[in-house]
Amino acid sequence: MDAIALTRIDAHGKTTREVNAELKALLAAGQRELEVLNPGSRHNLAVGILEPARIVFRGDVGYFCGALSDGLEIEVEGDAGWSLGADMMSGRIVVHGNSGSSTAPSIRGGLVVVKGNAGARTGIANKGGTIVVGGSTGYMSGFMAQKSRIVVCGDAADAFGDSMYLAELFCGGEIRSLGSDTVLEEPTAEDLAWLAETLEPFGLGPKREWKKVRSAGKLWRYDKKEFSIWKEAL
Amino acid sequence: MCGIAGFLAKREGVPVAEGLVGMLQAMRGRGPDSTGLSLYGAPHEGELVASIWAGDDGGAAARQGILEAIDRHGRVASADFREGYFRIGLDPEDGSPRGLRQLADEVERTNPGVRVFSLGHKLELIKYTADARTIFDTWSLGGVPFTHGVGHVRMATESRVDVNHSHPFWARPFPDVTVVHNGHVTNYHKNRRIYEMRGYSFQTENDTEFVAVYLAEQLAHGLTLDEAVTRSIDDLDGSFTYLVSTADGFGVARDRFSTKPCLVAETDDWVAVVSEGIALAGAFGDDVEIHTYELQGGEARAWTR
Repeated sequence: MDAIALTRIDAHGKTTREVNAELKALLAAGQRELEVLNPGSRHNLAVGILEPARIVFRGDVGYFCGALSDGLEIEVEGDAGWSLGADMMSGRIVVHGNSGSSTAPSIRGGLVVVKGNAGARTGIANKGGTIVVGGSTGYMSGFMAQKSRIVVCGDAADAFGDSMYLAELFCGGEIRSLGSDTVLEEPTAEDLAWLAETLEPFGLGPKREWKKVRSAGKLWRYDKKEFSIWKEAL
Repeated sequence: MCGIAGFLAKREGVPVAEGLVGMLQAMRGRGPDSTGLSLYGAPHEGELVASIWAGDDGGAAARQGILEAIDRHGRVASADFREGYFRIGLDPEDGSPRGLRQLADEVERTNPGVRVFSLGHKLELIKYTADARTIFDTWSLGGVPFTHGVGHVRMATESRVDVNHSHPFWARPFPDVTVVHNGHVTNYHKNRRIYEMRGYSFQTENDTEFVAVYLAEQLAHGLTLDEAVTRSIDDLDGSFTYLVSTADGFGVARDRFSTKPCLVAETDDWVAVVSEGIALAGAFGDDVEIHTYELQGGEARAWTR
């Protein structure tokens, strides 16, 4: 499957601290292609790694996998728990299964792809980067996102894109309800080209009736006495 | 925090207690204060089985008093004393919720410090300020043919750390119904007063005890388990993922904001509902691939055998 033999760590029977110490020791020794067997949904795997490397997890990972990373490439051959890739600066995370709540929160850059479904609050408070969900996403995805693109190939649950700044959301399925202060738009030709280009490498290519959601901007600045804006936007 | 788990066997021979204990032990970090289990289906003598906590002093002195109190409301069929608990098989004179309330009240009134943790046709309730593995070993739960069960590891946030305030909570006086819960129900004070006016008595200050009684009453009014857990999404405020178990199965519900985690895994042989994936790795091994999905906010489900 992999052209290059990956340096192997077997997490079976080890503590999270031992697995992470082993990962960091291998990185320090110059290894750049690693695989972790039996991750067993442990939390906090491969957190805080600030150098380019590729790590493949052969199974499920727990909370905060790949969080606080910069330039890391992670592949999860299973499901991921909450806060996958939290606060990452750049890099790429691909999850073949589902992910839990607050997938890729507060990321500043990079690409996070979940081929299955994501939980609630996907991409909350993002400041950059791109998130792709192959299936559906949960409640209040995109909440308060400042600058990011979130693509949901399936359905979006309630309050999609609530109280955002300059983020752009795309949904290829049904949106159960939009969040506060949003506008629903037709994607532009550039948007559609970008979507095709972004999704194609992950086999999420089939064309969909894309909807685009962005902030209406009414909550960004207003006088506190302007109750009509409160009423209208919220 | 807190961690919850439910495990239901779809066929005979699935080791229910082993699985549930494996899940709870793996989630020990979510709840180091106490551990509790509701287990269903072990054979016992008599129509009902009572799980009675004999009190912090071990309770050997209370033995006679408990048996006499039960004797006034029925017949004792069997009595074991085990690790601070009396496990008593009995035939009640009045098996209705009203009769069971009188029986439980009588046992507690005449034996200070003693608590009737549960009464049921199939239910056994065990909780301690200890970990799941210790409970499994000291109670020799291996190999007992349980059909299903729910369990809890507790990180106490809103009432004290002791056995009384540990989960699961029995829906006194409804036989067999218990609840484990991760979260805070914020409208329980008000609801509890309403239920007290209707004649229910609560043994602790824990919000989960109300959830159990509320659900059991819905079931007693004729709702199916599926209908009851679905309705609770509207009736309960706050953050919650809870599991409610009856003699026939269990249900789960998650609040609309989905603030507390909940994963579901189902195979041809069993159903598992857990707070996080590490519980499944703990029960089945980290090298076993298990497909899971997250219960969505505002979603409720039930499984019966």
